[in-house]
Order: sequence, then C-alpha cells, then structure tokens
Amino acid sequence: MIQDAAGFAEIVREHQAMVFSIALRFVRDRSVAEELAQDVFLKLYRELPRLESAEHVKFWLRKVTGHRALDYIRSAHRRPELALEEVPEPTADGRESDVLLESSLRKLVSSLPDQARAVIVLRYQEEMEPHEIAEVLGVPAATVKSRLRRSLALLRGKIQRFVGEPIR
Amino acid sequence: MNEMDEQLKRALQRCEPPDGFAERVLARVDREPSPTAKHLAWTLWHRPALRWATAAALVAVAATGIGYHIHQRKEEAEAKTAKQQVMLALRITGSKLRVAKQRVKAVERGTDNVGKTL
Repeated sequence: MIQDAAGFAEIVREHQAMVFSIALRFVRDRSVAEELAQDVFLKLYRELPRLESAEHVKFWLRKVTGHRALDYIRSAHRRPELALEEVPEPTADGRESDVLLESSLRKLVSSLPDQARAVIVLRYQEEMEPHEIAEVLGVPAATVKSRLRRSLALLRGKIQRFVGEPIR
Repeated sequence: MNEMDEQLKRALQRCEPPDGFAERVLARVDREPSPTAKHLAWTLWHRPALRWATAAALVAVAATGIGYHIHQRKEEAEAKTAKQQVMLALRITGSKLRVAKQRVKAVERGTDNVGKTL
C-alpha cells in the first residue's frame, strides 16, 4: 500500500483526531499529545509501504499511538493523578448539565490510573471490542475484560463520591 | 448498554488536534527520504525466495573462490614438482657429461701415449 504525498495527507487528515485524542487522553497534556501524534504519523509514513489496507492503517495507528503514549507515561511518571477538587461541580438541568456531566466524566477518567484509563479510552472513545483492545495493548482478552471491570468499578466509585449518587 | 456506557461514550468523543496539525506533520514528512527506497531494501530482505536466492548466490561465490584457491594451489604444487624434476634431470645430465668428458680425456691421453711409443 504505497501512497503518494497526497494520499498520505489524506490519511493524516482522516485519522488525526483519533490519534491525537488517544494520545491526549493517555498522556493528559496537549503539547505532549501533539508531539506524540506527529511522531506516530511520521513513523506511519516510513511504515506505509508495508501496510496492506485502510483497516490495517487504522489498527496500526491505534496500536502504535497506544504503545507510544504508555511508554511516555511509564518513562515520565511526572503527572500525579488529578485531584477531584480540580473537577468542577455539575450544576443545573438539561443540556447544560449534560455538558458539565460529560466534562466531569472526562476529568474523572483522566484521574484514573494509567492502565485503567487506557482500556476505558480505547473501549469508549474508540468503541473497540475487548479482543481488539487486547491486540493493541498486547495483553490477553481476558486481562482486558478484567481491567475494564475494575476500571469501571473504580470510576463508579469516583463518580459516586463526586456527585453523591450512583450511576448504573 | 447501560447509562454509564452511554455517558462515557458521549464524554469521550474524539477531539480535534490544534490547528495546522496536519500541515506540521506533512512538513516533517517533507524532510524525510522517500519510503520507497527503504521499502525496496526491506522487501528484498524479507521475501523468503529472494533471501534464499541471496544466500545461494553467496554460497556460489564462496564455492567458486574456494575452488579457484584449490586449483591455484594444485598448479603451484605441479610447477614445483616439474621444476624439481628439471633440476634433477639437469644434475644427472651434468654428471653424465662430466663422466663422458673424463673418459674422452682418458682416451686422448692413451692415444698420445701410443703415438709417443711409436
């Protein structure tokens, strides 16, 4: 699947939000996420002749972004988990409250430990099945399922402590 | 899918990268060499048939080199033997000539003596 420059530009534009979002939610820093996403696309450019299809490219991007972001987190370990005090209080009803709830949820997800955050982001942002997450993270599917269960339980606990009522 | 799953999906929508992201990526790519040349080298090495062909060619070259070396050594040995044989032949011829010369001289001396006697 050798692409010319125009073809590669199209691939970048098609997948930039996916790559940047995975990187951002893993590393929780916009400038680091951008640098990491750029590196991933540069690597893609070098690897492109060996990738066989559009699906292969998408899978490769998710996998490499995930690995790079987790490597960065492991090597950096400089950002502590976000404190819940940093998360704004949800208020009001209707769409405004939805927006606030979503914002709060993002912050609560962001406060999860690295591995928990990784599976939650891949499951709910990328809507990947556990076996796909397993391939990306290089762990057994059973491990992904148990991490998802634990991560959701952890998140429910955080939400309950934060809003004062359980979410089912 | 429960309420929490739905809320998480809504909350974790993908977000767009900063403006000009794609352009910055493409600018970095412009500074990269074309992947085609690298791909060619990679392809040549990673195709089993080509790898075997390369290995066979290397073995053939090595075998030819060794064969040539053995042939050279054999020729040198044969040349050395021939030289030794020529030297031996020359020595034999030399000694035979010396013997013949001595006999000729002896015969000449005998004839002189006969002449003197007469």
